[in-house]
Amino acid sequence: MSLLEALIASTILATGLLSLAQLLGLATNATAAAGRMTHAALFASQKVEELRASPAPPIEQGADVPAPGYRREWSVVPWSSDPDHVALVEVVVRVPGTETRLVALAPRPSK
Amino acid sequence: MKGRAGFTMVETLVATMITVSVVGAVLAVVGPAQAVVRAQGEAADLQQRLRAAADVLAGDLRAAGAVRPYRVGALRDDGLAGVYYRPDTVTALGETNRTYYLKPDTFELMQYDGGVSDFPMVEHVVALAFEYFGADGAGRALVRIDPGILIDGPWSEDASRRLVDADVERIRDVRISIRLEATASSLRRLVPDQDITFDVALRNLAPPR
Repeated sequence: MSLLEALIASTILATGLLSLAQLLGLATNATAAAGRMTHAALFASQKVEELRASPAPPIEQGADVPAPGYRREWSVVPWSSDPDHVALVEVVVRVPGTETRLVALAPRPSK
Repeated sequence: MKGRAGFTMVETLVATMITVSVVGAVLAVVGPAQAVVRAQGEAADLQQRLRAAADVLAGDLRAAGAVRPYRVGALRDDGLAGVYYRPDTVTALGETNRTYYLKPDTFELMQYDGGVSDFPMVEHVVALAFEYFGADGAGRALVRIDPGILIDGPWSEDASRRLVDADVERIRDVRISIRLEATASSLRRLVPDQDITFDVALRNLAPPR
């Protein structure tokens, strides 16, 4: 076996091992991203539910930080098809690498 | 013997040393990597249990015709024992009653159907808490209902002739906080506990009488 053959074999082995290591890093990032998406979806749903449960959802726009790294923005506007009785609630939660948007209709008390 | 191809002792020793170092380095990386690989599965499982707990609680509470902050049913009914509030228990009344509570000795989120079926839904739940929200006096904003108000009367009887505090009927929103831990204790350093808090608006409530 020449030195050249040994070097080529080592290179192939090293490349294979490095690819495996990279795969591990990718899997870790993907799991972490899935976790962030789960939390973002729950933060968005929490705000939608809170606004839905409100006896008179205020027509407003707002933003807060439900947890470090997450930014939540929401808007409540009269729904174009029935502006007096229904509000359109939209919540967006942004977190590095992903964004979750939830839209719901909420009843407005009749005047 | 002279002239036959082969390796000298020095060459063999150097080659062995290099091989041992390389294999040692590979093993040093593979050991921790194995724990990371197991932790990935554990983290995914933890998130899945989190979603399952949130889904099942949200589904039953959304469909509930009324909620009670305690256990209701044929077995160990809280009302019969004079208990009208438990911070880690909620009952969604409906076609089938569903009581969810934390079993503290086994760390399980339990589902009780009001009859005889009482079984664990989600394991390794280390904390569970429910908070209740209702309309304020002016009927404009959503405010937290103090637990003390839920047990002080005035009392009335509900459709199943059970005593119920009138303020329980004010509940329009339930805030659920859950904390889960990894199933394998050896991996809890790599997979920390996860907390979630989410709200469920009760959109199927029976109209006030």
